[in-house]
Amino acid sequence: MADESVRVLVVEDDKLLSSLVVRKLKSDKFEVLYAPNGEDALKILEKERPQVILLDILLPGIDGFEVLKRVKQNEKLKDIPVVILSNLGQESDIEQGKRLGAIAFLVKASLTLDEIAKEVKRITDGAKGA
Amino acid sequence: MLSFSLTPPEIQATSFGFLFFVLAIAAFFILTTSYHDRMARYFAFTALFGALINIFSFLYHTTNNLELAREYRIISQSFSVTFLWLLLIFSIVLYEKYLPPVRLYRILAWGISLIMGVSLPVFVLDALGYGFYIGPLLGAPAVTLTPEPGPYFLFHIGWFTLGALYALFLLLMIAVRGQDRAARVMGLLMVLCVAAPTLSRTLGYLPWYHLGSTGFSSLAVVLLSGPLFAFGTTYAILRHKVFNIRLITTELFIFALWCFLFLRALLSHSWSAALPDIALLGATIVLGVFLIRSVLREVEQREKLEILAGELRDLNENLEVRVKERTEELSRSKVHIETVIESLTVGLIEYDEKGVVYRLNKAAEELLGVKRLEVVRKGASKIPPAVRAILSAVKRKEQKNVELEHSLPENMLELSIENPRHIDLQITTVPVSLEQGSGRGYVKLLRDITREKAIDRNKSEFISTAAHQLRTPLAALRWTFETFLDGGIGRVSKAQKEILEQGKSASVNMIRVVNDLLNVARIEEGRFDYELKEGKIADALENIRPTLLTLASTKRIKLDFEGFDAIPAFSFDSNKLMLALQNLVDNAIKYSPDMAHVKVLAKVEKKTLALSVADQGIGIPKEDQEKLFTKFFRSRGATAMFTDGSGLGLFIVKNIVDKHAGTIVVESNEGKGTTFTMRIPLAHH
Repeated sequence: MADESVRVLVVEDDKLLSSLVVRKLKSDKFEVLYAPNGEDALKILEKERPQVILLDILLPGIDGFEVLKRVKQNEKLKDIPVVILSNLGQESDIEQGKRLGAIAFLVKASLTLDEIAKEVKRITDGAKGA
Repeated sequence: MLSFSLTPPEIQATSFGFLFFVLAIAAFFILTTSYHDRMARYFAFTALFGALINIFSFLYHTTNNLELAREYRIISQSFSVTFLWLLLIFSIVLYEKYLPPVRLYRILAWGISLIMGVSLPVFVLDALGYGFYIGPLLGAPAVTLTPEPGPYFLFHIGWFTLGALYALFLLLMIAVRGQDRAARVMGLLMVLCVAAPTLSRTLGYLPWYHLGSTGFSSLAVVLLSGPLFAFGTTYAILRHKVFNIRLITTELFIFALWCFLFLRALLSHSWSAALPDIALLGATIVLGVFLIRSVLREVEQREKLEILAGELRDLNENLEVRVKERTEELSRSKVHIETVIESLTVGLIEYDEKGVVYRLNKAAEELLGVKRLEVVRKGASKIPPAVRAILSAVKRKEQKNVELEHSLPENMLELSIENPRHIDLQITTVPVSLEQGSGRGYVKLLRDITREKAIDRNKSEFISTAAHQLRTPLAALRWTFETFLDGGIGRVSKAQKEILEQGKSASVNMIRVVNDLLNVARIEEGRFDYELKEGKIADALENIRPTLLTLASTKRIKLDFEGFDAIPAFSFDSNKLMLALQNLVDNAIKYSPDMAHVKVLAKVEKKTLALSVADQGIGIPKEDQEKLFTKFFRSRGATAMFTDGSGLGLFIVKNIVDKHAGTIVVESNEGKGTTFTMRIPLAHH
């Protein structure tokens, strides 16, 4: 398992945040796909199949919830675990994310990059184990 | 008959007869009309004894039998004793009625009466043949005015005169010193009609000593005593309110009849000729008494009836006025209420017990877009279908729509209608007793909450957006520092690292403050929603444990969690309770020196989870402990040690504990450490 690189799709519109997350994940030996908005994310997903998706909610154009919904409606993609990584944090948002099928709801400001990387690792390890 | 050609005995006889008549009539009238009045009674009996004196004096002149004539005189004179008694009693009683009683006056009145009483046995002895007062009769009464006076007669006359003077004195006192004008007038009148006639009557003693043979003394008695007494009597009758035209007429008629019969009897020359007239007079007197009394009773009854009728009339008028007033008041208050209801900005619909609309105000018309005429007092079938749909939606009793963010009281529900614009209504149902009849209907109050709803939504969006907008750059800052510290962008020197650490911790702090502020905003809006789920607290702890351990390690603090595994599953909001615990542990770490020990202990105490966080920190002064859980409050020591706390952490903790029906207490010693203990019931709440 160590040699197999894990592919992560990061959907994040904020340039600084995305660059920091991408850099961290890469340095932790993940293979990173990156989309700055919902449309691009969906386009990437037509061709690629990441093991996990880190998804922001407030995005220009198609928002994160919509992307999540479409992923879960797609037979080919619906098994990919989706982790919402957002700065929204109200119960109603978390509730909606869970309802649409997200495996976790992380609040960016509450976590270190390390913690995010560990969470991704935990999820992909779990998926592999299963 | 009254001419100076008459002999003195004739004049005297006439005067006696006249006086008897006047006195008897007065006594009779007063007794028949005013017997209930004490004064009138004394007055009447005084008059009656006066009449008896005179009738026997009169009888003296009507007989030729010398023995009998003398006896008549003795009887006549003996009545002067009882007359004086009555006169004195009347005077003293009248005096005490109008003036404060004086003991001496009463004693004097009784004393004179007592000594006067001595005369009575003397008269009895005289009647038996002695001659102490009344001597022998020398000539026929028709020519001789009086018998010869006895040797002691002057004693009787003296006492009589003294008694009459004393009565005059008492009555004069009333006339002079009477408390009010009425009393003084009464006194004066009694002087004139009682005391003065009595004194003038003492002139009647003159003929005994052959001083009245000319007849003038007798005339004086007639002219003074009679009219004066008659005047007083009349006044007494009027005074005692028997002045009634029917009664007076009856009395005058009877009086005239008696006069006529009496004069006829008087003018008869012999007893046998007078007898029928006397018999007729007696019968007339008896009948007259009954007639007058029956008239009097009738008059009294009518007076009572009139008073009663007057009272009834007053009552009736009063009642009518009051009914009128009340009716006006009622209609005024009805108009008032109608106006108030009509001008309410809250929509109001009133239903009767059958659920038919009874009233619908203007605001309700506008809110629902219906016309009053279409719905008020109309059966369901007569209401247009569109209107019916709206009304039945409003009428609905249960709350079907459960997508409400916060629960409402039982009698309230929220409803959205298109009218045609979108309106959100809050409908409150209140039972009321109906305006007419005894049934119970209900009232629905419609409040337009469209704007409130919109504002609510905006607020919610604002909080959400603010959270996002503030947290995003803060997350960027934090991650930037972390990236540098990781050494991913190149090695950093020790000095650089130190500054980067500080920057990172500042950004983390800032994130915490923002999170606290957002939580407080949500608590205050009632949007801090709780989701209680059955679960194990040990599992929940795993979500925050790593973060807390990391934090503790920065100060090389020993952080222990004990007893969590032994706590049974119970119902709680995992995120919120962990937020509370995290806040407490954060504080414990923050306000403890490096290398200190922080202990988090969970245990069950009497079906309650006791969750305590004990530190060895700076402690909290006693005076600050009470205010600890209020918003923005920071203890002095805490502020000095750590400037950028928000003062919101414990406020949030308290709210979370409250929502779990729990309690939180603090024990603290300054400089030694603090222990916060949350107690949360494990049973369902």
